[in-house]
Amino acid sequence: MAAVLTRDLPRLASRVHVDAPPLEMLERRASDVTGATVRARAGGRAYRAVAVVTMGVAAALVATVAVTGHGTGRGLGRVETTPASDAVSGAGPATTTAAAALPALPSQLVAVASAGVLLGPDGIRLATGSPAVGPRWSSDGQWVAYAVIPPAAGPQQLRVATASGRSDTVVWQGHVTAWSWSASGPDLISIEPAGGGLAVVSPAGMVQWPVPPGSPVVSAAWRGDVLTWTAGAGTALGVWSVGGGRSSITLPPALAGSALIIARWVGTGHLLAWQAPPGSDEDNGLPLLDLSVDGGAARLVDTLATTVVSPAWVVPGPSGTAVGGAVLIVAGGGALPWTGKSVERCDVGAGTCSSLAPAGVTLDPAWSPDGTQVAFVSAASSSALPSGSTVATWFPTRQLWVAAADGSDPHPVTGAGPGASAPSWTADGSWIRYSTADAIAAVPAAGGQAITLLAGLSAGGGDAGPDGYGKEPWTGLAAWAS
Amino acid sequence: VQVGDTTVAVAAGPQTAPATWSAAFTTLYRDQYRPMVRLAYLLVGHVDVAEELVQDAFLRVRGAAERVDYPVAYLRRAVVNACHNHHRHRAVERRRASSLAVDDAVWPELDHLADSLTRLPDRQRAVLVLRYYVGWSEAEIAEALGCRPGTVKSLAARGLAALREMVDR
Repeated sequence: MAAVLTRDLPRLASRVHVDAPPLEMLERRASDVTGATVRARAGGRAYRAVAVVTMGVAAALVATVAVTGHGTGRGLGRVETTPASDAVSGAGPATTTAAAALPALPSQLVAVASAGVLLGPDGIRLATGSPAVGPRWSSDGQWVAYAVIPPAAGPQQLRVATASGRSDTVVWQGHVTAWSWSASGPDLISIEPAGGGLAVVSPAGMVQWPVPPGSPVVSAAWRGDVLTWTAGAGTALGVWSVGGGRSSITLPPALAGSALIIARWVGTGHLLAWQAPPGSDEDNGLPLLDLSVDGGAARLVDTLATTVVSPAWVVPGPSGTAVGGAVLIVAGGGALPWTGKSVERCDVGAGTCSSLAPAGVTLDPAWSPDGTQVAFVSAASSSALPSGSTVATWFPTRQLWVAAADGSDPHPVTGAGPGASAPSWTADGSWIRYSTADAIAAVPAAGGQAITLLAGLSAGGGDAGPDGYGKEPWTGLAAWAS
Repeated sequence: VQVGDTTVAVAAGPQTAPATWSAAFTTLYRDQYRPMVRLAYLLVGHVDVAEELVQDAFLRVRGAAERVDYPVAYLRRAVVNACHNHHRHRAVERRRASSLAVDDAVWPELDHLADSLTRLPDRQRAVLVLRYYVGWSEAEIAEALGCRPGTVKSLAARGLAALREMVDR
C-alpha cells in the first residue's frame, strides 16, 4: 500500500491545475479590507478591478460584489465582506413585514437575501449566520440557490434550499465567479470556480466537471438543459449535456482572436454574446453579437449594439408569445448608467434594433408575461443633474414606466415610488414588483396604490448598486418565481 | 518545480507586485503556489478550500521569505499547519466525501484511491500524505501535527490498513 501511495499520490495531486492569482488578490486578503475585487478572465488572462460597493445601513455591512457588470446570468462574482457587527439582526423587521405582506400576492414566491437571511415563499427565515446574496430560483421553482458571504476570509458557500424552506444545504464551498440554474430539464447549477474550470452541481451536491478544474472558462450559459461555454479566444463554443458528454459549436472565423462573453440564449437557435477583442475595455461596453446557431456551427447575424456587459439588460421575449424572437436590450456604452442608455427592442432573426422607450436615460427592461407590454426604468440624465451629483444622488430619480411592446404609449406607472429598479411582472401581468435601495414593493401595472412587500432592507442606502456604477439593478435583492 | 516525484510546470499569471511584496516573496509565490495547492488539496480534499488555505499560508510567511534559510520548507509547514487547523475548526463543513475526484474522465483509475482517502480520518490521511507525498520523517510529521512520533507511527499503520481494506474491497 505504501508503494501505491508513493506512486499515486503525486498523480492524484497532478489533477489540480491552478495558477497563482494576481498578487493584488493576496494584497486584498492581507489587508482584510473590502476593496476592489479582481475577476480573472481565464482565457485572456485579463484581470480587472471593480469598484467598491458599500451596502448596508443598519448593519454596517460592507460588501464588494464583483458582478463586473453581470446581472442575473452572471450575477454573482467573488463576494467578500468585512465582519458586520450585527448583520443578521438588521433584517429582523423585514422578516416581519414579509410574513404579513406576501399573501397579498398569493401566486408568487419571493426570496430575499439581505444581511444574513433568506426568506422563502412563506416568509420563512433561513438563518445562514452570514450575509447572503443573489437568490435565484430553479426553472421549475422547486429550489432556490443563494450564496453566503463568509464572515471572514473563509470560503464562500453556495446553498440550495427547497421552496418550502425545510431543506437548506451547502452544495459548494469556495469562491465562484458566476453560477446559474439550468433553463429546463433536470435542476442543475453551473458554477465557474475562481480557480477555473466549469462545474455542474445538483441540489443534492453531486458534482460533475464539464471543464476540468483550472482550465480557462470565460463565460457559460444554459441552452435549455445543455450547458455552453466559451474559453478564451477560441474558435468554438463548448457544449455539455447530461448523459450526452461534450461536443462543440464552431464559431465564425471572423471572431477568431476575440473572447466571447455569453449574454444568453434566445430560444435554442440564437446566441447573444459580447465580443471582447484583446485589450478591450469591458467596463465601457462591448459589441453585442447576434449569432445564429444551427447544428454544430454558428453564423454571425449582426452586431446589435454596443452595450455594457450585463445579462440583466438582455431580456428575451417570453417564449410562446408574439415577441418570442425579440429581445430587449439597454443600448449604449459607458460605465455609468446615467448617460447614453436607452431601451431598444431587437429582432434576433434580422439582427436589427429600434428604440422602444422615449428619449432620455432608460434601463432595466422587463417584458410582461404575454409579451404585449414592457416595463422599464426612466431616469434623469447626467446633464439634468446639479453639479457634483453622484450615482447615489441619481438613484432616486429612477421612475417605473410602462410602454406597449411596439414602443407606443409610454407612460410612468402612477403610484410607484422613486428609486425603482429591477421591475418584474407577476404571472398574471396585473402587478409589477420592483426594488428600491432599501425595500421591495409592488404596484398595479395600470397604476394605483403601491404596497411595500419588504421594508427596512439593509442592502441599500442610496448606494451605487451592486456593481458600484449604478448600472446594475439590485437584482441580488430579490428573486421571483414565475 | 519538484513535488514528490512529480515535476510541475508552474504557469504564472500576469502579476503586478505592489511595493509591499519583496522580490523573494514574489518568486516564492509564483513558483510554489500550485505545488502548495496540490499538497493542501491532498490534505483537505477540495481544491477551493486548498487555495484558500494556501493563500492564507502565503500571507503568514510574508516577510519571512528573505529571513529564513529554507523558505519553501517554511511555507510548506505553514500550509500543513493551515490544513491541520482547518480540520480542527471546520470538521463539520467537510461534507463532500467525493471531492477528491476532480477529473473522473481523465484519471478514472485514481478515483477509488481518492474516494478512499477522503474516507480516512483527518489525521490518518494527513500522516499518509505527509509521509508518502511530501516525504517527511515521523518526527517531522509529529511536530507538524502536534503529537508524539509514536502516535504518527500508529496513525500511519491504521491508515494504511484502512486504505488497503477499502482499495481491495
